[in-house]
Amino acid sequence: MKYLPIFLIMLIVACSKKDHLDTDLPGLGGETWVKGPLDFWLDTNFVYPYNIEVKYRFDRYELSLNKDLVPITESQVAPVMSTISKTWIKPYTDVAGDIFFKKYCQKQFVLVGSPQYNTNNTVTLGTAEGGRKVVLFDLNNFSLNNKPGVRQMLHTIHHEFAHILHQTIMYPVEFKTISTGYTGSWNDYSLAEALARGFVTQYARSAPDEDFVEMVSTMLVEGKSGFDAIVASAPSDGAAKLRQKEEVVVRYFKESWNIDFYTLQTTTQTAINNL
Amino acid sequence: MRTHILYILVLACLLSCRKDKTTSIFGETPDQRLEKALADYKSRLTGAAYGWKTAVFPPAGGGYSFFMTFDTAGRVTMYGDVTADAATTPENSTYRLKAVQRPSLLFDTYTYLHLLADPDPNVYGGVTGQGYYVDFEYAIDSVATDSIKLTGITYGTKMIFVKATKAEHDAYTSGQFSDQLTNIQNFIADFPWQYLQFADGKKLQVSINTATKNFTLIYLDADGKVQLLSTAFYFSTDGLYLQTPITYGSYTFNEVFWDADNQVFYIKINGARIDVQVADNSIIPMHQLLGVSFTSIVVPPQSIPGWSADFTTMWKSIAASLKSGNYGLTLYYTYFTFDVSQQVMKLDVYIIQNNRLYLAEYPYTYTKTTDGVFDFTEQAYQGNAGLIATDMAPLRNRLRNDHFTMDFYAGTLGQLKSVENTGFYFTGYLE
Repeated sequence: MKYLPIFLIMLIVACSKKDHLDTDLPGLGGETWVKGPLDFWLDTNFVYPYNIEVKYRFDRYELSLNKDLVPITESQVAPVMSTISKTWIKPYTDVAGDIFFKKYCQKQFVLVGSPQYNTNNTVTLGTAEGGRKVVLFDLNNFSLNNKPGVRQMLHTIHHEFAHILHQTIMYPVEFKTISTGYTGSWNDYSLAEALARGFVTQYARSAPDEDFVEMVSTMLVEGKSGFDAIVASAPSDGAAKLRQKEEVVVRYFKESWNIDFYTLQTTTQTAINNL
Repeated sequence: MRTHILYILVLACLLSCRKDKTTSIFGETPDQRLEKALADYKSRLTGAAYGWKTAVFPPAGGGYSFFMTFDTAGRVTMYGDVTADAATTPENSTYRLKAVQRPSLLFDTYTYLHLLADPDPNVYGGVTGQGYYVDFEYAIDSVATDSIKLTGITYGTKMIFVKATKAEHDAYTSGQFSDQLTNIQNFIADFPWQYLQFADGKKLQVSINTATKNFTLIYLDADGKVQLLSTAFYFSTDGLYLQTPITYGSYTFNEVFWDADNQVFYIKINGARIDVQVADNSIIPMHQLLGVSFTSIVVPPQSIPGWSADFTTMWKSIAASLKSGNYGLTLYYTYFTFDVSQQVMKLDVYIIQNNRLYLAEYPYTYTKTTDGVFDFTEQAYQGNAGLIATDMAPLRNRLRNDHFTMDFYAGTLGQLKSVENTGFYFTGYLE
């Protein structure tokens, strides 16, 4: 016990000083810039109503560091985003309601001017991460007159949104057994081969989840007539499987989300045709 | 043992929480200094009353100038010499000063500068997926009163911002720069043969390629060999600015000025003006430029200026004979391709059958006199060449029997002339 005084001294001396953590850290709190009319327009139409951030100013760190990309031309931002608003946001909010959409929609759009060139001589036109962020490429070539281009862009968005839906409520498990032959090397097989097995696109072949969301996005973006044409182009066995999948998708939307899929499909088509 | 414990405890007392304050030798935190630096850069960028001029030189060649004014709301207005539009119409877009790894200037929406970075070759050419390897995000290296040095973040593109003068500012904004660009391009098209002459009396041919942005001096050395002095250039408000100075003998210059009043280029050597003079024809004979500025004379199937009646008739009859022959061929372009080092000329005749292109190749060896008289000797040929040898015989006989000279025609075309049959000559595009 003869050390007791020393211990006491230690207690008293030790850490007697209190520092307030008030160091000023400039630059924290996110990026800011002087907002222009475009920023206000995006705030009004996307940030405030849906909490969707639209990043149109180039940010290297949102993108692949090993790819050469260029920013979007400022004047392209509004046409692209109002197209998305009319053909994705509007149909869903009209048919499924505001609350549903605000709760589940992807929260960030990153806009890029050029396509993303891959080493295998293909280009990427859209990517998505974690059901939250969507990157859209080649937007400097976006034109409302180019309907196939518009549909392609919308396909990416509807595709990703469908992922969010089935990750929230799983689709009926029977869907996975309709087609066989899912493969990671889906791009080695032609569209004809995919259709013969009841896959709506080549990519649908990569996994059941992708198959499901490709079904949803193709049916919405191509519309009833477009989808019927795809089914008609498939061999009878494939066509039957596509119809079977269609039935599951429609049932899933009704049972899980109380959404009438055909109404949603029609609304989306009307919106695309009226662009 | 006890003493040890005692020592340890005493030591602990002494060491524990010695609250001496660490102070930065700079007086401020790194974040504060960074913020100050960015604010300083911004005030410099926006403080230039007449904006900034700058230029980039892509690794593959050529030079491109830009003129920019920055405002405090984060917007930049840009002109450039990269396209005719860029010289005429200002483009207004956004910029940002941001600490990335270092304080950096980012052009974060599309501008004329991005044309050089665009990976889509349909936009402005360049390498698919890479463009011209030019950056649009730059780290700031250093600043001086009138200039800012920057280095591109991805490709290390060097850029120096220099404060523009009022005259330069006005030249861009009034459209004078754009007019001058058009003027210069028309002038070069109208007068393709120009030369510089220094005290030694030698004529140095001046070649300005406005597509590749390359400036070249061509001359014959003491041995009669062609010498090239070449560098990239960009358009300044004064004329052409060369990437590296051109030195011929004791003369060095790095700018080629444009005299708009007199419609003439000139250079300055030690303050003295030397005009670039216009010639009627190439200073360096065409046969000397073979293998230097072109290797092929490309003869189209349809007649172009500079064909004699004899040749036109022959060409038509060859085409007709190919068409009516066993294979029903359509005559397409014909290449006279020279390999100077091997003294070989290949006569490559392209023909079309059922929308597919075929090649018939006739190799020749040749000799050339110092005056540029060619003598061709036909060598063995095979394949398609054998199948249409009879159809091609009129031309082959001429090439075998006659001697030929070559000369430029109407600036951009090349002409081959028979020495023996003066009524036989034809032209082709130079590649």
